[in-house]
Amino acid sequence: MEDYKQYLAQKILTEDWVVTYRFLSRALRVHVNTAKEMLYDFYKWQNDKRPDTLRATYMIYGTKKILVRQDEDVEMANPQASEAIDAPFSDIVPTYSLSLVSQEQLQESLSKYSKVASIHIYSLAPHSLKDLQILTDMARQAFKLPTTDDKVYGTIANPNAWKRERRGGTIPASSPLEPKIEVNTPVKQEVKPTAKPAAKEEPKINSKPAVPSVPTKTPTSTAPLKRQGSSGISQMFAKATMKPKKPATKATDSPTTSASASGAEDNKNSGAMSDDGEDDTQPVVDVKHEDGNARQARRDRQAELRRMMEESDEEEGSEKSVDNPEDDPMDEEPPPPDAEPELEPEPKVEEPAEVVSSTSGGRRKGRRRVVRKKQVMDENGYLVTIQEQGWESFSEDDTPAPLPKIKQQQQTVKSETTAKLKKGAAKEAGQGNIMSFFSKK
Amino acid sequence: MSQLDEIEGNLLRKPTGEAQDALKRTASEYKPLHSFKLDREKSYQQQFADMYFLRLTKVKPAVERRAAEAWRNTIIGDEPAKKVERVLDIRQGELCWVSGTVYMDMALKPSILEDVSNDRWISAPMSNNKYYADDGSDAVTLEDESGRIRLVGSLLKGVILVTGCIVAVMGTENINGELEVIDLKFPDLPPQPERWAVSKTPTTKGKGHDKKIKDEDEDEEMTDVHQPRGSGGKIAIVSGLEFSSQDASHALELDLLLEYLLGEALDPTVQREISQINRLIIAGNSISLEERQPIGTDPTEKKKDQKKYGYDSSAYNALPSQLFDEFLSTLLPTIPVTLLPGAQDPANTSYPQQPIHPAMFSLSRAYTAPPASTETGWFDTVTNPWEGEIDGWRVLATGGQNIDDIFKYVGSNDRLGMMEATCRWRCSAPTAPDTLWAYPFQDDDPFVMHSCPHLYLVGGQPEFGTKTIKGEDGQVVRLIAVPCFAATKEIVLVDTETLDVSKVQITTG
Repeated sequence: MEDYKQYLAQKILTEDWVVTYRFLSRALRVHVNTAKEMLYDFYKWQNDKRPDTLRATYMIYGTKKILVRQDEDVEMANPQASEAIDAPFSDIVPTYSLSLVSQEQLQESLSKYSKVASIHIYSLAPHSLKDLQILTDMARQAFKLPTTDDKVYGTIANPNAWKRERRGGTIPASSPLEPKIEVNTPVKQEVKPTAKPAAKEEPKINSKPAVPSVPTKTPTSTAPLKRQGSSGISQMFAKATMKPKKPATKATDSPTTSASASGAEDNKNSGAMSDDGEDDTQPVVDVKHEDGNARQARRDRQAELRRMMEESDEEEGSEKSVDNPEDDPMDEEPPPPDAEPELEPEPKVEEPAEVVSSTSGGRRKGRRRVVRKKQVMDENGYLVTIQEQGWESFSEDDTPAPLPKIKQQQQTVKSETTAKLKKGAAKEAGQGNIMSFFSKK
Repeated sequence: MSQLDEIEGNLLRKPTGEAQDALKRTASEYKPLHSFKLDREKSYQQQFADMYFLRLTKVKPAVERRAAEAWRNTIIGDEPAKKVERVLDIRQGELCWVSGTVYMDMALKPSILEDVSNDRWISAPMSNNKYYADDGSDAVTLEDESGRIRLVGSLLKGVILVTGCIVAVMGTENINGELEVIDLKFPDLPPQPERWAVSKTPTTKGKGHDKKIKDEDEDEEMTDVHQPRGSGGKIAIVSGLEFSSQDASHALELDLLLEYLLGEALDPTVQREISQINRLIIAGNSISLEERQPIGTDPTEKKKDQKKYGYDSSAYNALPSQLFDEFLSTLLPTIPVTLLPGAQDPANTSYPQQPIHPAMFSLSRAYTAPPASTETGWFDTVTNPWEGEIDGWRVLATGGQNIDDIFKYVGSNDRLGMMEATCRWRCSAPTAPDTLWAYPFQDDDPFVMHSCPHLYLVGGQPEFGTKTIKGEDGQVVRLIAVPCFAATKEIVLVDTETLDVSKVQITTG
């Protein structure tokens, strides 16, 4: 029974809170009327021990004296209202007054009432409240306390209250939107293997910086592939190679470098997506300086990465089949156990994107590297800029860049599926960020 | 504190440890009529003239019947008062009576013709200025489809007349072509339905089937059984809560109001009284307008950056509506709420305002009726004006724009008189569509009162007022001008048996 005194002493005297009866009833899970009495009891007990340590506010309810009420009316009212009193437009009706007053004003307020029906302590505070509006903060506190069972607190129950049943809550309603994207990508691409990477896209976005996820990231870039136009993967390789460029033979330390590279690419994705058009123009200049060494290193790296991707895809593939089989309309998922043949194609699919770099010469790679260059420049780059120059010299070999690039792209696209063609076309049409639609027009 | 001992509901005592009664709220019998609901697919192509035509054809028979009764045997100076069908048929010097629509020609009144002729195509914001000019330059004219005649006479000074109301006047045309008015008749109160006219079969809710059947049985046996059903109930009416994110001057009063309505404040005796309040009607202006203007206008320069998909998030401050939502969601488990929009609320501007969309209330939304269902929600966001039956009484409630607009036409400050006038005109919003923006109704003028309410509430008024008016056929209407809570801190309680009114004022400090 004395618990509440302890609680109140703690809250009011120690923590300097203003405690209202509502807050107390929520905090101690007691009826509001009991809480009101507790406040009074504590108030009396404490002030008997040490006078004036507590200041109370009171709530009074009743009828005010009629004379007083008229006075008030005149005071409060503008000239118009006093006219209204002269001409009795309105019936006089009983008026009940609910007052919240501090203890200093209590007697004065009580004297205004002709009949007080009810009085209780509204709040206790360690000091007198200059502005009663402070109590609104307390009211909000009480509102925030978890209220499980209103019956305890004495809120008037209403057995007739009813809520409608929510069909499809908000969460399920909104979440389908994200999965939808995933579902669509595989459908559009109609390339079996890419479906998985596409599905992985989301996790990737969430967990960019994680180093171990590098393999995951690399395959995922096939999904961005679709949105950026098929440059994604090879861009990544380009970057990856660029970073090691200085150390030249870094092919083996792939995990970290590729991580940073892919991280960089991620940035690029978010930042420079709408710049597709520029990719074609700049590369011409940039790709020049590549030399045989670099190319060799790059190829090694790509091979390495591809191997890693295959491995990770096998793992991921089996996971995927468990995770979201519905995502994929075409049942590639069931076979994962014997996935080898099926998974094989994936690297191949990517290969064309890379093949660009490996088979048909540095042209494409060069271009892509250029893409990456942009990014590097965006971020900070002095040193990076120097690297760009090195690439430029290489591009001289393949100066006729822009046209062949498109052709090759189309070839690869055809070799994959017609759907990819769409993708490529879309890319050229500038498909991509919806923001570009709303921007300057 | 010797005085304190005399107070019955004194909780200044040691905790008694008594078990507290669990109070239950009395049930509310509630049946909204969707008189002012607009179609979802509404067209704005049509002209406004149809509204006046519809109104005239609907109200004219009533006013003519009344005028004919009153003036049947009227003979002034050996000349009997003769009925004239059209305004144009009035002959100079002949004593006659005619009915038509009043049009007020006022210099200060906004005029669409003037706007068009001056090539102003952006409508000016509605102002609170009066149209009424005290210098006598305002002209009262009576018109119908045939023509228009100016009304003169001292009689006109004593009555409230606004554009759009339908009256019958008796008089003679003078040499200036004006009608000297000797007498004037309103259509007066429309027929009043019996109590429980609509909600004979209680439609409390979809789930209460068993209860429904029981009540229907009662219906067959005796209709009077209904009387005790709602007995002792009270309706709480509040207007102008004006939740605000900046102006916290009445935030504490709002909290106290909430605690009062929840039945948590005060002592068990008063709490029992409060438990009789079985419905809360919020008559407009729940959200404060003041702060929206500065926020909307200030950051015009920054706007460009923050616009996304054409939506300027900086121009909207969600806090007031969130506070309002919290307020409602706390109340709703214990009391049903009928919410009318007002001039400041997030609904359409033109009359009749359509319900505030439940999406505004993410917490309270669950209590609304499911979309596209015919059920009545526990939390009912309704039109303004709104008509319905509460505990058997026909209730007409508005957010106050109709009276505020009439107020601009007249010199008096008698809001209740204006409310009474709208009843006697049989038109709840006569100044629509002239100065009160309204939807261009084509087939029906819903502002015409077909049936007389028992209870007529108008929100957003500067001060509280109530009175009872009586009609010739025994109609009794309780008029209540509901004051703005933010300004007066008053709420109105209406007894659902006697329609007696009381009010509760909340003071702090």
